[in-house]
Amino acid sequence: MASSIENNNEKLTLKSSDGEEFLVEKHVALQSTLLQNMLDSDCSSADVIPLPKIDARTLALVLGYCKKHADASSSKQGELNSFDSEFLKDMDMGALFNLVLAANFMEIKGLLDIAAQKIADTIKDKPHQEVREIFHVENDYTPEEEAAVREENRWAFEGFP
Amino acid sequence: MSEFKSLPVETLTDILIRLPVESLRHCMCVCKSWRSLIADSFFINKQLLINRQGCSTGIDNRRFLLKSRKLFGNKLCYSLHCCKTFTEQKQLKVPNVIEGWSYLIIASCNGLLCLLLGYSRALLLWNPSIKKFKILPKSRFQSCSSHELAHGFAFVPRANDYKVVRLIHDKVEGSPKVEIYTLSKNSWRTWIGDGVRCAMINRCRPAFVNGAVHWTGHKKCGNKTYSDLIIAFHMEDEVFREIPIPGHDLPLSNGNVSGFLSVVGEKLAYLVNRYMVIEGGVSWDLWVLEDYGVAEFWTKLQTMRSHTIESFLHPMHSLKKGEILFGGLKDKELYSFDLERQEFKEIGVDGMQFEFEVFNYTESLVLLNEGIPDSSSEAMIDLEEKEKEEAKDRQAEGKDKKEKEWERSWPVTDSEFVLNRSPNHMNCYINNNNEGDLFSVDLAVCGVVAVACRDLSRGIEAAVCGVVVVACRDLSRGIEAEANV
Repeated sequence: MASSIENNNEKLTLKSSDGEEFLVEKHVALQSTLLQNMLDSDCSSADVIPLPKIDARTLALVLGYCKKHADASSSKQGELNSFDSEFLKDMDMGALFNLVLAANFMEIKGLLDIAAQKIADTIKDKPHQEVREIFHVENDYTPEEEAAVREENRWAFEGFP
Repeated sequence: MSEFKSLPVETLTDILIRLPVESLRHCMCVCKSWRSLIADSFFINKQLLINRQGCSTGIDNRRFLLKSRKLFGNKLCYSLHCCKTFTEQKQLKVPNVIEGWSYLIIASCNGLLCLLLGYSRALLLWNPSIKKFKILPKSRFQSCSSHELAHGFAFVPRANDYKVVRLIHDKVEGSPKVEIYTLSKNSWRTWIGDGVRCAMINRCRPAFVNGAVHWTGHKKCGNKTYSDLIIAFHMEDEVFREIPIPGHDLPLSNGNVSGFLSVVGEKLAYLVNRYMVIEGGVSWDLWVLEDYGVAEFWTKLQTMRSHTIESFLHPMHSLKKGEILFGGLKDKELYSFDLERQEFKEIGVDGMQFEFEVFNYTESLVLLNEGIPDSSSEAMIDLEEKEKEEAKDRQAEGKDKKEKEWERSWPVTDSEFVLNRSPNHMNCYINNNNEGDLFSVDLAVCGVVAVACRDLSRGIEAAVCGVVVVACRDLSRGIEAEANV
C-alpha cells in the first residue's frame, strides 16, 4: 500500500473484452479492490491486465468514475455526489446493467451502490410485466400460479393493472 | 441499447435489496426464481441491513412510525415519517385482525411490532409493511392482570432469531416467573435462573440497547418503602442484572422520581422530569449510562428546557440521529428536542391527535414466510378462538371473578383513590386493592394545566385536569373513569 502512494505516476494497462487497451494511473486503478489485490500480490504493473467480462465502452465509464473519485479529496463529498448523479443521468438500462456487472467484478463498492440504486429507482414503480421486459426474464408461472402469487401479494397491487 | 447479459444472482440481489418493500412484492410475481430469491432469509437479512443503514447513496431515508388517534372521529392511524424532515411519507392501514381491539405495542424491531392484546394477553408479531401477522402460541404462565406483566422483544443476531421475553410478577416481593419465546421454534420455554426480586413498574416502554431489554422496577427496601431501579435482561445470554438509576445515591426530597428509559446515541438513557412549579415550562434532565457493563456510571448529558412551551411534555422516543420526541399533553402536539442545538421545536402533525406513540421503524420483509396475511380469515378465526379459549380458562380458574370485581370498581369514586402527591408527581392507588396493585405511578401534577401520564406496560392512561379531576383509562380493557380528588 505504501508504495502505491509513493509511486503516484506509475501506470498500468487494462484490456477490455473487445481487445481495447486502457492506460491507467495506479492510484485510479486502486479504486477497484480487485486490481488492488492483484497489485498487492506481486502482479507486475508492466503486464497487461485482461478484463474479459468488461467491454471497452463500459470500462471507459468505469475508469471515468474511478478517476473522479481518486482525484477528489474527501472534503468534496458534495461535489462527488453531484458528479455521481450526473454520471448516471441519461444512461440506458443496458449500460447500467453492464456497469453494475463491471462494478461487481472489479469490486468498486461506490459504483456498485449508485448503479444498483439507479436501476432500483427506475423499476420501483413499474408493474411486474414491465420489470420482466427490462430484465429479459421469462415468465415461468402458469396463469393460475401467477394469479395465486398476485393474490398473495394483493395489497401491493392497489392501483396497478 | 447494449446487448443484454443476464445478471448473476449476486448482482440481481444487489439491485433488488434497494427496492422498497411494496416493489419487492411486485417483483415476486416476475418469475419463480425471483420469488424464491426474495423470500430467502439471506435476502431478507440483507435487505434489512441496507434499509437500516439508511441509504447507500448518501440520502438519509430513515423513518419513524407514528401511531396516533385523531381526536375527531376517534380514528387510529399509523404513518411513516421521515426522521429528517418529519414529513409524513405514507399511511399504513390499520390491520383487519386487530381493528377495534385494544392492544399495546411492546417494541419495534427490524420492521416487526410486538403487540400485547388487551383481554387475552395474547401476543402478536406484526409486520405492517407486508401486512403479515404471527400469533404467538399460548404461553405457559397466564396472568389475570396486565399489571403483572412485562415483556421484551428483540432480535438476537448470534442465533439469527427473534425472541420475546415475558415476565409475570404476581407479587411485589419475590422473583417473577420468566418464559422465553423464539420465532424459529415458535414455542415458549420456561427460563430458569437467578431472577430479580422486584416488580417492574414500566412507566415507559422497555428500552433495548447493548443486547439487553431494560425495564424500570421497584424494589422493596423497607416496610412499605420502595426504591426505583433498572432491570436488564440480556436477550442473548439470558441473564438478569440490576442497574441503579441516576442519582440513586443522592438524598432526594421525595423518594420517588419520575423517570423514563430511552436510548440516546446507542447508550441507555434515563430522563427525569424536573417540573418547575414556579417558573412554569418544561424541564427534563437527560442522563446516559457510560461504559455499559464495565465500570458503568451515569453522566448528565444536558437539561432539556423550554420556558415557552405551555403544554406538559412527556418524553416518547429518541430518534437515532440525536433528537428526542415529546408529546404535548395539553396541546396534543408532537415536539422534538434537538440534542445538538439544544432546543425544542414543534412538529406539525395533521389534525388534533392524542395517544401518540413513536417507534423507530425499518421497512422489512421479516415474517414473509412465517406470517399469515392480514386479509386472511384464518387470522381472524385464530385470534377469536384464542380469546374464547382464554375466557374459558379464566372461568375454570376462577380468575374471571377477580377481573370482574376489578372492573366493577369503575368508575372509581374519590374515596377509592389514594393519592400521594408531591410537587412534581403523584402516585395513584386504588385502595381496595392490595399494595401490589398500584395502578398508575408518577402522574405529573402541575397545579394549573391538565397533565396526563401513561403507564404503557399496563396500558393505563391517566390525566389530571386542574388537580380536581383524575381521569384514568385502562387501554387494555377500554375502561375510562373519572374521579374528583
